[in-house]
Amino acid sequence: MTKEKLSQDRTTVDPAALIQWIRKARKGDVESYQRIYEVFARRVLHFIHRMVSSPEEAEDLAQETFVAVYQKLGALKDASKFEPWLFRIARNFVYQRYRTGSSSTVSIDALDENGQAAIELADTRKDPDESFQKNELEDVVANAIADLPEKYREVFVLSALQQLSYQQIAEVVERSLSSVKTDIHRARLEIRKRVKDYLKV
Amino acid sequence: MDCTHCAEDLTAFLDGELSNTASERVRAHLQSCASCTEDLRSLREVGAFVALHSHELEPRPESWNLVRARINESTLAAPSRFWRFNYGQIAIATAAVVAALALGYMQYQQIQRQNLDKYIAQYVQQREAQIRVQAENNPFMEVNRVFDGNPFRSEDQ
Repeated sequence: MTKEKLSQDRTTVDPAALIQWIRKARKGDVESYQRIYEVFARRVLHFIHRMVSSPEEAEDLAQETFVAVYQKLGALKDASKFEPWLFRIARNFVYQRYRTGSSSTVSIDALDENGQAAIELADTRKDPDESFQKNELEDVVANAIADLPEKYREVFVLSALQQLSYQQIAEVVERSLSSVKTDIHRARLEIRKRVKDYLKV
Repeated sequence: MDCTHCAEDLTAFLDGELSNTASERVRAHLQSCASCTEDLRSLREVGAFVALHSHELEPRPESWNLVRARINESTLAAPSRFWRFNYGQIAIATAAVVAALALGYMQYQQIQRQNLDKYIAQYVQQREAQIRVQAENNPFMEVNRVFDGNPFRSEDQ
């Protein structure tokens, strides 16, 4: 059966090219690392954003992730495992932020007069006349994902939105394949519960 | 396969994560079970819904420059790559230095020994020459006397 994943536009990369860029970046070639960044920046940001909710915090953590990844490239033994390794580092930064207690949701003070976060990130929704319904459904999906327990949320995002295989996800979250499989299924059932009233919209 | 087991496998089935055998079992069950087929349809629908309404952030245009600046900062702050060794390299370097010192010491000892031998040989040579000259000048000393055997033994014995 064709793999049915949820993300629409994942940036693809030739694995041989990726390995080449990793080799060069290890030797200090920042231009090659920029190519790696261009391929994965959006996905890492998206993953972190789903985990921390705050866009500016997500941006900050994504940058930290890419700085750390560059510094640790020499420690990556198998370049073909770059993708799960990258997401594992991003995940570690997310949990590290939670542990140090500096994690924040957007506070009232950080909102402007329209109730928007004062610091805006670039937004793919360029059209200001975009329908209210579309925004509302995006909120429904965002809230449904945000309401998932953490261990379901991370595997759901990695699977459904980042299109990682179950094996790769198991490497990212450092759990067994069967546990990951079960949690992804439970996460999908939870999401279904939360969005079922909107499915016919 | 019963409905409980089938339900547990439906998401993995949709994601193409089941083995061929397991997929076949699910497929066979679905053909005869309307409830699980409906379950599969709704899970697929949920997937499509989330994909359609999932809003993704775009990294800020200046993000890469910020990442690059931080990389440059950390590279400048860190010691040069030339001096970055791991423990294995340090152990090898230490062993090499110890081996070089040991070899050097052995070589030094050998040279010292050779010099001493040479010095002794020269000394003996000079001493023999001196004795010869003294003997030639001393009328009581027999020159070129060849000692055969014990010099303290009398000829008669």
